[in-house]
Amino acid sequence: MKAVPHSALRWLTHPYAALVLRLYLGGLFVYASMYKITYPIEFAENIASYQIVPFWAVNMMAIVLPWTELICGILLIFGLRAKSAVCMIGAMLVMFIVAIALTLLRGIPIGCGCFHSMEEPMSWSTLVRDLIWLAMAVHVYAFDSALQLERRFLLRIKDE
Amino acid sequence: MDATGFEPHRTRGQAREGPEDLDRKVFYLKTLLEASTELSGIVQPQKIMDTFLLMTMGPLGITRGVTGLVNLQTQTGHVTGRGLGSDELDKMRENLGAFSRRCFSEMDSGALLSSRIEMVNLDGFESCGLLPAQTHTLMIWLLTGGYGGFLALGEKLTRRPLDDGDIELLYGLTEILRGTMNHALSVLNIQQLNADLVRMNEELRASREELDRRVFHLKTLSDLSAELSPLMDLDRLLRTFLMMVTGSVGAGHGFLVIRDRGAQDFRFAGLGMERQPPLSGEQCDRWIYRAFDACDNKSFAPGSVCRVQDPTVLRQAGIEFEISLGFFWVVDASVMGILALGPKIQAGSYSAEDVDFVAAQTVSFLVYLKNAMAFETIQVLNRELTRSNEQLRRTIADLTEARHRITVLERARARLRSLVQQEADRIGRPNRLDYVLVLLLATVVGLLFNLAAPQGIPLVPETLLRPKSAVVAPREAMRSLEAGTAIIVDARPRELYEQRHIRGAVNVPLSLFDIMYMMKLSRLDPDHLIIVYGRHISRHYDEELAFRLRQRDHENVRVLEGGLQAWLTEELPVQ
Repeated sequence: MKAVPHSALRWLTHPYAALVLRLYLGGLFVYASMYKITYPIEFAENIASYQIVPFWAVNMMAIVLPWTELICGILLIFGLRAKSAVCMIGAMLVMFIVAIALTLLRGIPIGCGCFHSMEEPMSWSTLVRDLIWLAMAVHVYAFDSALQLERRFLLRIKDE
Repeated sequence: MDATGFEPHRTRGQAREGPEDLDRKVFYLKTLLEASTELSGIVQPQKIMDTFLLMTMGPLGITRGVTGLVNLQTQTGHVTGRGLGSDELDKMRENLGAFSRRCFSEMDSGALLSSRIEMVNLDGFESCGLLPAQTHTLMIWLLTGGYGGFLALGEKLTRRPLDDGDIELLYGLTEILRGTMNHALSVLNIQQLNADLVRMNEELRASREELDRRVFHLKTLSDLSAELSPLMDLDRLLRTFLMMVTGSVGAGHGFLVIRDRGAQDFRFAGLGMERQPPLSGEQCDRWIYRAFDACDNKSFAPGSVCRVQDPTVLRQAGIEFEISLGFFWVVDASVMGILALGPKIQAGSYSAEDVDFVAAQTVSFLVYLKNAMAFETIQVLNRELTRSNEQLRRTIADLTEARHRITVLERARARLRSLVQQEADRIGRPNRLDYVLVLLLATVVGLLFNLAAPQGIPLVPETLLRPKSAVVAPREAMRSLEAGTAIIVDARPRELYEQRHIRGAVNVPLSLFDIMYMMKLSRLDPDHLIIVYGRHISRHYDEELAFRLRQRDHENVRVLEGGLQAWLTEELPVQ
């Protein structure tokens, strides 16, 4: 009876499981950044609709945040500075979760603006979805070690 | 008693002594003197006996007589007679042994003293035939040196028996004979001793010569050993041995060949040769094989030396002299060789002693040759060992240095590993620099992209750079609205407008400004007061809408001071 949970735990914590999640998160953020980079005006409106960012910083955030997502997603996919990338993604997710939570609590009827501008208004499921992504980011941070370019290179040096 | 032993007989004849007897006695004495004189100069027993017999038979008037000398050990001797036939003498000589045993057998029992002359009773002698016929008197005596003598006389011419005077004379003569014979035998003995001495001297001289020769050989061997023992150089050893062996037998030329088939090497040493003959290893093999084939007792036993019976087989191109003596010898299974000597400097061939002597020297030489070769091998091994030791020392030094270097490198490696590990760990951990770099990169790329892209947006809202619009307080705005002199416009997005807005406000979202303006404000008088509201922390919709209305020639556009929040604070109506 104990072998099954142990085996399941072993599979859940396996580096390949973390690799799958890492690729998923990386692809997700790369995908999300595409719209935001392509349509910065709409993304700036989305940011502004949360009523959290000062008006003078909205445009700057609309310019920088998509590229941050894109770079972090790419780093995560290729396993370069994965820990830092996943930390930044986690930080962004935390930021999104806080923003969504505040928006939901404040009752502002807006879409989340995560992937495109014409979205359904956000709900608590949106918050749960982001929490799941955050859990994935934590899993990747804790257990990811497979197919990391920099790790493979460094391990080769260490083995010598 | 005088020296002749006459005294007993003179005593017996003293009673009848007269002038006639005196004459007879003088005659007898003269006879004895003559006999003594005559016999004293003779040393040959045969001649003594002949003379004695003649001088005995004459005075006594006896016609037949025989006397002899017998070696009592060998039962042989000499017999001489007068008045006898040759056959009688021969028979006497033949029966001399039996006669001697018959007559002198009593001597063993002591009956016949060495100093006495015994007249033997002839009873029984006639029947056995040991004496000549008509023997009337037989006298025997002993001589020095194991000899015995006898005298057998026949009848007198007068046919009368011997009287006392005759017997005394006979005793006297016999005594003289005995003394003379003893002397002669002594002389003969001395002569024999001299001859023996000469022979022994000759033998001694020969033995001494043999001894000298052997001493010479031994000394030569000793010198050879003394010369060869300190020599460890193989070429010097060969030359020295060759000089000594040729010198010991007087040879003018010689050479020595050694073939080491194990080392594929050969050595040649020559004496009395102008140059070394051209040689190769195969020629040496054939040369040595010819020598071995010509040996009398072929042997490959280590240390064996065999004489080459036909030295001419050792002739080789480049050898100018005639080879008279040759030897094939074996050091061990792989080393063998030949020794060849030319003719002697002095005329003559090599004797058997010379051959043995050279063979003995060669045997000794093989010992030193083996030692020298072993020494060479040891030297080679020592050189190799020294070289190996040097290499080993260098290797050890290199290893020590390498070990030290390895230790240093291992420390460096451990240090590098530690640094790499630390760096890897550091790299593996999230880093603030990464955040900064990512943000910086995102900022730079985003700004550049935004600058280049046609849909780029300003970095800051343009409303922040424009002069502020004129404002109107909520109460005043309420009054204007109630008076109908103003229209209030909600600039927020439709969702926010629908959530709550000022009662009577017209919603003109910025994103739909053109459409909504055409629908709701295009027919409005440009001088009509338009009060705009709608802002929050992230957007100043009112300022932007006021700016756009002024662009549509609406000069009387005011922004509600404090926005919807101030309106609510004033508790003005909303819906």
